[in-house]
Amino acid sequence: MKASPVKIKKRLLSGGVSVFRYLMLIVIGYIVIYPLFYMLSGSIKPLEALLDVRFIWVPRHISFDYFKTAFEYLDFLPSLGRTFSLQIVSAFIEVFICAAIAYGFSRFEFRGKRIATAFLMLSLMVPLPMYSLSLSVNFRQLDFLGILGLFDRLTGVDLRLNIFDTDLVYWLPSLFGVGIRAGMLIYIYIQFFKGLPKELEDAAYVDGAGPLRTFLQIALPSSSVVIVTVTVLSIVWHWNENFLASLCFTNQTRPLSVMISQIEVPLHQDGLWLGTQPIANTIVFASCLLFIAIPLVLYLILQRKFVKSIDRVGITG
Amino acid sequence: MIRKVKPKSLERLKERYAFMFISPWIIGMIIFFLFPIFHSIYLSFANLTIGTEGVLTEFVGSENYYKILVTDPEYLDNVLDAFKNIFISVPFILVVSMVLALLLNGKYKGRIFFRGLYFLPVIIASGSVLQLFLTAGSTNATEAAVSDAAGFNLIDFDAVLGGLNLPSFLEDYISLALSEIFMLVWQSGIQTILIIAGLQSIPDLHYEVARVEGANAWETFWFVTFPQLIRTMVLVIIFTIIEVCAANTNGIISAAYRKFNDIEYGVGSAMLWFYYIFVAAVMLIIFFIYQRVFVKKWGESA
Repeated sequence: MKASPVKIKKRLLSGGVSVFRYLMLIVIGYIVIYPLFYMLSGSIKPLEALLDVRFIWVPRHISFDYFKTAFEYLDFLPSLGRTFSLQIVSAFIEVFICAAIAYGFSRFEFRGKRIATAFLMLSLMVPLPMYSLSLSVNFRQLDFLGILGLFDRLTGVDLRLNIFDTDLVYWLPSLFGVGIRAGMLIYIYIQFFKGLPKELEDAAYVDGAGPLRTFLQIALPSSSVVIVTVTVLSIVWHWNENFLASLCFTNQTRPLSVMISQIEVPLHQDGLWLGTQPIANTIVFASCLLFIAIPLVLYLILQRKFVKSIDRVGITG
Repeated sequence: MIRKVKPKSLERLKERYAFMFISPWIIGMIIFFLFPIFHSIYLSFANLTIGTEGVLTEFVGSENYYKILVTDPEYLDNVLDAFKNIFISVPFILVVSMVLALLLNGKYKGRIFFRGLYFLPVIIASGSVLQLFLTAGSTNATEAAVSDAAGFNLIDFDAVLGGLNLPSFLEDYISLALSEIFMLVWQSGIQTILIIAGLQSIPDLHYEVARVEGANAWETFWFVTFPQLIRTMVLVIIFTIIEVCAANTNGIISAAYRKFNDIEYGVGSAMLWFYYIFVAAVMLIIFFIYQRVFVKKWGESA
């Protein structure tokens, strides 16, 4: 069987396209991976070797001393524990609560839905650093529309909670679905629920299930695809959040994200950071690697699921 | 009569269900979003002290704004820099993430590997690590040697650009973008994810029709993919602007947080809000263009 000229032309074209694809992916992939390798090789070689151009990537002597030092500068284990109890717990709360809120948005009609959607958009458009200071002030005297403040003035009984410097700083907003970048997560969920067939849920209503039960037992189990995406994003954003954490934790152990963003302070004190630049790059690189190690491993485990889930979430906008 | 009443009550019931799900969010929005925003705007016109007797605020009018605009020699330059950064970064990030999404999308060998690789920046770039890498890496005396050896400077980009005879502003733009290429590629992670998800949601049927009609790849992109992707793109643009304007590397944000650390809460807030007015204006212009141009052109499908 002989292939027709048209077929050959087509095959050549698609071959060219795939060569181009791989070439581009590898070139840009190099840019993506470069800082990681650079940090890795920079953090395991002794300082003298840094100046030796012949051994850029694979050093002759490997030393893990810098990791030990970085470990101490980051106060690693206590901070890590704090990151988990504070931010990771909050991330999981957020994943669940945002699903419920998005379900309410996408499954039911209600008065004021347009306004509510507009506010959802607004919460996407005002980044947390803009108001995290006021948020932290608000945490000292938690109030709803000033009602409790008025009550305090009238009766002298102050019911306003002070949750400043406690884990609730993250947990409480997440419980109400307005935590770290909750707007984005709700938005992703809404887009997914819009494409999810309603029939199964309607059947559940006919069988007498309430809305909560329908959500928990029908809608949520069929959303595992979007939950993977949202979980990864939520964990990563919580892991990296440092604006709110740097304002709210003064006395307690601070999470890793704050320790890493302020690493220049202890380095400065020990004379390892002059002006705007560190003298001990190796320590900085080692602490960066320590900071990203856990999300990286988690991501490598979840990667296949995550990649597949993106294909099927379908965020149409 | 009965028929008329029934659907209405069902509607009511559904409305009750809706509020069951979203009422926590409404309360949360008021306590943890709207109130802080109003408070923060008010704060930019006030002096705040946190003492033993609690939080005290004293209204001072526009004094904080006077301080940052007239007394502070750096602030306006910082705003200008931040905007330059937005105008350089955002288009570049959009192009990179669009190209990456088109490359990564589709069926080819090793796609799981490449996709996994390209989402690495998502994990790293939203925190302070990238910033630290750049400060520690770029000021290093050996950096030039390192990047030479790594083959990154094998091509003299400036010479190549000079030979292309581009208009000078475009040339400046490209060479600036190339000098920050790490930064920009690393910031394209989430955008790539969003665009891939958007691409996946376009029904195969539409491509089928385009194929039958004899459209080539270029036409298929502009007449099928692009119109259906435009809503995703608006979201991606807004997201990117927010990311760039509130990044750890942003001069205004870090200046404002330095003020917060020095307990000058009012001045810090003024710095943030004066800057944000312009950011919001840019976003509104984008929404306006989207409504006027795209929604009109493609109607509901856009």
